Amino acid sequence: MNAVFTVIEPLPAAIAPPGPWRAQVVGSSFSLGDQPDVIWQAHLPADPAAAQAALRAAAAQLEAQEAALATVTQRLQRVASGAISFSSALPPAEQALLSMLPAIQPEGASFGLGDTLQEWWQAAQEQIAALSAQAREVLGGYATVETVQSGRLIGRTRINWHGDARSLLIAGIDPAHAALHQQTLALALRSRAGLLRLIGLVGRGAAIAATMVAAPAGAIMVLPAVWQFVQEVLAEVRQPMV
Amino acid sequence: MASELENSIRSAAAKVAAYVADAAVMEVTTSYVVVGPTAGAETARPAAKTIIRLDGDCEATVPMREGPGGILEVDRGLFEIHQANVATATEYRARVLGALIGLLQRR
Repeated sequence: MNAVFTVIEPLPAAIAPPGPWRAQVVGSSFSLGDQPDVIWQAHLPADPAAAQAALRAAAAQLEAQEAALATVTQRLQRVASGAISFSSALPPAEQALLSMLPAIQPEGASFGLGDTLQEWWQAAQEQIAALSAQAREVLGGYATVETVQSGRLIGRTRINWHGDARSLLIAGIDPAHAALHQQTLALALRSRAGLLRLIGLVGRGAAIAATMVAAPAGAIMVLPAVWQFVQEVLAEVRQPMV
Repeated sequence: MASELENSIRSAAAKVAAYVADAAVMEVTTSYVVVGPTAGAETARPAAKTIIRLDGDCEATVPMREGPGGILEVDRGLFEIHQANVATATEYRARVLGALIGLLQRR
């Protein structure tokens, strides 16, 4: 059995956070203050060595994405400074950004965006809205992190961003199993904090990219393009979990 | 959508302000309870707890068990698990705070 890392989101829409997690939207309706927990669930193989290896691979994947995200601001600044121009030799992220920006210039296609581009723009806006909602959720709610090995729940921790935490462990848990839950918890929390980092990155990136756009509401107009840039940068290091 | 982002940033700023205001009374609490394989089938039992206050106070409830001769001793295995959890919770809090500060940096 391969390891599966799932985030079960109560929101009606959600994006996958950094790391190995797949977002599963359950979309229940709830009022403020009655928000259900986001559940971060790692299903690990029965073999202890395989379980450890899966968690190590997941952590490495997250680290690679964090490292890639750390380059976003600098790469955007290079584009904004005019240090690079469109070329097929550029990475896909820079190519996509440079090809999109003219479309949002006042004299560009923004007032007559093609259907495909308009659909893409709408989708990007919805993803940013989902990310914003998830970021608010990180600050306002609890996360429940569960470690399931071979179909058996071995540990569950409920935690908020202040660090208040309560853990449930199976009776007589041994150090090896406790370590599995500990690693799952650390992985989930790092990814959860990554959602906040992601939205900050997109906001800062938009401020940089806005300098390339003459439109009055530049920073807002370029948000979807910057979001796409960030997605492309992540795609450079994203790989399927095994 | 743009207002969503602005609201998020404003909300984050308010949270940071509240966080700083509450700093003197902030607590990191980790409680453990031990349950059976079927969660909820057994009564949850407190095992260890740590409360940290920024004025330097720290309060710890240490898990004990009956050792040889009926002498109470620290349940080291459980305490180590608890300590690791305290470290993880503290690191998470620091990461979120770092991300919040990042949210407020525009460039």
